Amino acid sequence: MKRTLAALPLIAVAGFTHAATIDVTVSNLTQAITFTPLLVTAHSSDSYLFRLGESASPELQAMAEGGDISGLNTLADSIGAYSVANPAEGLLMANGSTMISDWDTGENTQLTIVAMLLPTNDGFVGLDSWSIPETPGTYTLYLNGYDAGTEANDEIINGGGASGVPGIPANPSGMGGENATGVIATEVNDRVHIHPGNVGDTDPDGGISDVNSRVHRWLNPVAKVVVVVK
Amino acid sequence: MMNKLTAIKAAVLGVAVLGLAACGDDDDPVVTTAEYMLTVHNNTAAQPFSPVLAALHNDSAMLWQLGQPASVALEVMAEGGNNSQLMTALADQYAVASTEMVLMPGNSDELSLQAELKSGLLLSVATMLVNTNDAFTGVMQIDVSGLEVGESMQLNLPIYDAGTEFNSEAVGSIPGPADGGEGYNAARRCGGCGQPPPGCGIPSR
Repeated sequence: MKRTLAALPLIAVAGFTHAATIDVTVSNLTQAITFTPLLVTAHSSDSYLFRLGESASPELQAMAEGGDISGLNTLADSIGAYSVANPAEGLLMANGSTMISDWDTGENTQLTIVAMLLPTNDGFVGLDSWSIPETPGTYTLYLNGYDAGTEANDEIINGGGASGVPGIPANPSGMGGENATGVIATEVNDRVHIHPGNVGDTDPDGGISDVNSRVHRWLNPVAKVVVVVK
Repeated sequence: MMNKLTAIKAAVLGVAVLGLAACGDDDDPVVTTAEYMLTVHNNTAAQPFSPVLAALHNDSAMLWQLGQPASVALEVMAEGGNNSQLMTALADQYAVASTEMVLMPGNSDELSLQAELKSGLLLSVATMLVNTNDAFTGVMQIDVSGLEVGESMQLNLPIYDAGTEFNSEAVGSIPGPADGGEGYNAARRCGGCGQPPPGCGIPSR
């Protein structure tokens, strides 16, 4: 009996060993939406960084409203995740892509990816806990744009990127406007949900939105992810 | 219109078989029924869902068919959130149920369906996005007969346009809280429209 018990942990460990080396390529599929620095993290199935239909953590809010991934990165580190922060070394513009090569994910089984969408108030591209296959091969995923549910989508570009501060911090692709009055003042769904998309307008000086409806709208998906399991 | 595309995933439907009850006695053949627990999450920004209809049925029931005209029963639900005609149409199927309340964004609701276990047990779900003219979300004919007890599946549901009413978004034409307007109106179908919507004419089965 004693021997059996002693053997169990070894069997369990062997059963769950999942050491994987993978390539991850993230591509921005939008017309003119920019991704802020990405956080790509491999973690266990015990935790997750965001979930559709649930409230955003303060760390997720900081990422979604201001592009700050440091809080989520610290969270991921605290649960033994292996993370690659900012693989694109800055912004990932529309039509751009970035690749993480020969990434050892250890025994972490789930892949999560997040980055803020600009220009939005609290929009982000996300992948929540995708199970990394054990079978070598190439896997293609398409990612949706989510709304963190933490800030009203007023679409006013005013530099407001800190959590709880209204407005959009920046518009790297340009073509936006200024002096908008605001699209909406309240957030109806305060949980993580499918982003309703930018409304925008065509007025570069005024109107309801500083976002340009001719270029800054999108339909899901917003990103393509190719994972090569080696 | 955008709603005709399957680009926006708005709802998550979690289906789980929670319990199996085997009954019967020595004289009767063993009858095994399963209880299917459904959880519907509204993951839209600001679209309340009308009461959610769910049914377990065989392949003779088809709530809608992409690219084909909507039935009147579906039209009534998609334009006004009233699923009573769909309930009636599915009454002789294995199980049909509806939630009672409007499901607000960010919230979830549950339904339980019981049916005799058999192969080809199909699940369909439908609900209107009430701040629209005739948009709905749902899923058609998902085979759940292979689900084990305790096993679950999760689906992201697209949004469809019933094709029975122009998306005028006009005052008085949207039944949800954004407008408080009219829901179903038979006169809008076919002759009532300036041009025939895709769903004009032939009711689907």
